[in-house]
Amino acid sequence: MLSGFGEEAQRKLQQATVLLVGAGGLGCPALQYLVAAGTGTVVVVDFDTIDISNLQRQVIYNTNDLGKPKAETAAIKMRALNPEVTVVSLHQKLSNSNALGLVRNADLVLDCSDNFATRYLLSDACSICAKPYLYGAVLRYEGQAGVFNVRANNKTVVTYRHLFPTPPDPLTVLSCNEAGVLGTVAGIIGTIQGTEAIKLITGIGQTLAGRVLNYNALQNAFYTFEVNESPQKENYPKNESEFLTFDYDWYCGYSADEISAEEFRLRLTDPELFIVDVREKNELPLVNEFKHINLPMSELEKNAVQLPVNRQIVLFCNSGQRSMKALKLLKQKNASFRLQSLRGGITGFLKHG
Amino acid sequence: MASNHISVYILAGGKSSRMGSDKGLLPLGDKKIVQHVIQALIPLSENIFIVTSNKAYETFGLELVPDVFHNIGPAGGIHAALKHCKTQTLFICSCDTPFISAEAARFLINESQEHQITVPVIETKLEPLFGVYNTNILNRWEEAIAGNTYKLQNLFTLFNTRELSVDKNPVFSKHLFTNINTVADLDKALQNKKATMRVLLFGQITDVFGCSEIEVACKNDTDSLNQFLQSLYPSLKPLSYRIAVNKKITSSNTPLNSGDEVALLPAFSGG
Repeated sequence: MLSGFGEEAQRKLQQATVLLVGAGGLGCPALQYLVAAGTGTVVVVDFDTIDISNLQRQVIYNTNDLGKPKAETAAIKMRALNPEVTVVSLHQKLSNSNALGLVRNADLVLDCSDNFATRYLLSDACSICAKPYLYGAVLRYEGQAGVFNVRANNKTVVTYRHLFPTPPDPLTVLSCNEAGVLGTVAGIIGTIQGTEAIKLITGIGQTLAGRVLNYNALQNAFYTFEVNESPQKENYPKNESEFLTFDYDWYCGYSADEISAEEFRLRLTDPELFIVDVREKNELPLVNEFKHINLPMSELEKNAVQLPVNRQIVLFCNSGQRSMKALKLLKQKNASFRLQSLRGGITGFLKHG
Repeated sequence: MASNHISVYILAGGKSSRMGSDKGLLPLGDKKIVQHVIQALIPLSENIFIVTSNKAYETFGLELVPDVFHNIGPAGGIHAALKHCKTQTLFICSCDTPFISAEAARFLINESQEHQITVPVIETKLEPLFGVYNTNILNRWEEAIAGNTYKLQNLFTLFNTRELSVDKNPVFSKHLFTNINTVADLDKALQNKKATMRVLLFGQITDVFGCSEIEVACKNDTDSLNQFLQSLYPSLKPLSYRIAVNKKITSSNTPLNSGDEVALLPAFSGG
């Protein structure tokens, strides 16, 4: 028996309900340890399916799981790991309409998502419902973890928005798809999120409440920064009715110029459409589903003259991030271009086809 | 990021009658003066050498390069460096200027382009011992010193030399080239040296600086530090990040003191 972790702590765990958003690089390790530790109920939300590129860090999945929904697959594996834990899986996107209900039913929330829109949505939902928000994020060889909406040592309660009040310019955001991440870094940060969850539930130790931890694998350095209450000028939802109508995709800078995969598919036969692949040459997957030209992002500026000003241009890449950068670049180049970027990229398009 | 495209040669071994000892080996704070120079230049290159015949410099773990021509001043030291150098370009720095910075050197390297010699001029004073030299000047340099031309300014006229005025450049502060020629200077230097601070860099901000930590002269507050860094590295500007001072995230302009540790912390979204 672990000293300092008695029956009482175990009982608290057994009675707890944890909401975990994102069964990916952070979610997999957090999930494994929370379930193995005997957390009463774990609700897993993820709309995505398992891709081969996920397996380097999402270690509960294997090659037999490719194409399957993450939430349900994770749930099956977790039930096998510990049948006494109730694992609820939701194969859907966290949204304005389902977030508050899910957060209210949980004792605490783990943000294991991979994009700012979901992070701000979930953080705001947790603030409105006064539920602990356990933050984790990774990029390349670094990761961050923190605990918000929890009072620490008589200090004021701080939220994720006190750390990062507004989302960064999407042009400057690097995603793991683009910039990569060392699998073990996601493992370490996800495991820290799981550890903080267990500490909060059982009341042991000092949590990261009001602090953010930064881990750098290359230097093997951990830094912890104190987050203080800071003036919040920004308009953001502070109650349920404001929350329900707030457009987080738009707020995080995307979507106004984007076309959804569904809409794109419907318009494919439109001769007005001029489709451009902005990925570098030889990038996979190959696209045979529709006619398009390839103008790699790295040469886009000098090749912009090849694009028509009298047709609707749709740009795509793998994830939808680079094509959005390409869109902004082309807009500056020539304001009369009519441009759209394929949301979710070609990967999203092929998946939901 | 240390690169192998350039070699760095620190000129030591000059006679130092004014102080009665080798200047680079004098203590300044908790280190020798030359160690301050080495530490400042480490981000530039993995190939750093000390031009000297004084074996006492061996303790710093760098390869020593002896002079070929003796007792002709810095022209001989530069010659030894040119002859020894394996890369096309080298950076020359004196061993007794402990306040020089990698940023200033990097600026000169970027500006050097097709010039054979690139040296800064600050307030009409030429600083030949903080400059970028191309190894293609070796033969002519050697001929000239064999013909008894030792004055650097005369040697410079033989080449495509760029004397770059850096008066308005924020990277070149006035005290950058303060050298240690007298014991009084050393005292003053000790006062100045205290006024530096570490800036820790995280996430994609390390891409902007090419390293994960820099040391800069102390600024009055976080706003002026931020402005200074953004003027030095314009690609920092569009990024969003929080500034922490001594491990506390600041929410408004915060006064800074020497020895403070500042961190620039961007948000990540990956999962």
